Amino acid sequence: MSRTLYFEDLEEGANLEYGSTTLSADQIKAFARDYDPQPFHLDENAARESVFRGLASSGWHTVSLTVQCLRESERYRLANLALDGLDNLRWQRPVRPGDRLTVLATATELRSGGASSTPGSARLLIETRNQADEAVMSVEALVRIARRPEGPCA
Amino acid sequence: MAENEKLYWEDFHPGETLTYDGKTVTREEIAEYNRVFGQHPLRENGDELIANEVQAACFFMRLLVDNVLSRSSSMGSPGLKSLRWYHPVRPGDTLHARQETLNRTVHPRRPHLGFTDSRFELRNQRDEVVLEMESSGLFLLRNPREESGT
Repeated sequence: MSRTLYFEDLEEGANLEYGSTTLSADQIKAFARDYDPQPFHLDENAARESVFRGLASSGWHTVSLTVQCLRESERYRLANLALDGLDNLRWQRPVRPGDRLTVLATATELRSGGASSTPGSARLLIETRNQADEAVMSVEALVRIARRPEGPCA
Repeated sequence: MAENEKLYWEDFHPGETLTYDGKTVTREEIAEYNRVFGQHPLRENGDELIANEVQAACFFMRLLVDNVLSRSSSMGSPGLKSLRWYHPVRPGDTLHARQETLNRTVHPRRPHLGFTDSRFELRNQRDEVVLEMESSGLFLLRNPREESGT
């Protein structure tokens, strides 16, 4: 059972692991066919000759999986997480077939939205790592997160 | 910029603007992305279908590949400086994009490669800005030796 985190549950500077996901060569190619049909995301032979030196996922596939982990992973889910922006995104290493990605995030700049129905906002410092604990992507996300519902049954 | 020739780093001129053809988003595309990567948390009333924000960036990426990168010496991208989402994408929206090249530099250690920094805008059929982005691309140089000294 994953734990739903509301804005009130976030602590400035606390580093949380938001779960992990694995991707296959077929998933890499299927995503690339839809959104990023460049040879190094579609074809092993072309990829071997490229700067990636082997099949690598589209950077937007890595972003899609990272945001999915924040929203609905097995460990935590950030309540009604909405993205307003991204800053300083770096695709640091290629993501390969079979890689297991883990998403870590630290909240900073927490600002409650005033009324308890207004989502709080935060800057999440996110790092996505592979199974060798190497960073494959880092990014700062400007987000809004739901406040904890009020009432005895919440 | 030449229309039919393969594009190299030298072909991206700071100050030059490109516009991309429209792409109409289907209900099925949004539903399929949501099935695989999760829903956008609906910010509005009702259960109207809207695209996950990341999918909006993916639609932009597809326009960039179809219009520019597929006929270029693209070697991927090191990342992006900033991205801001302003309007959601809904089924039936027609998206078009604009690119302004801001700056270009030769790779400091690999003189056959160069970076381009660009500002992109994705708009819908009502001319509302869906997203704005500043990002970098990596391309092969057409003439590495001539250009590496600049």
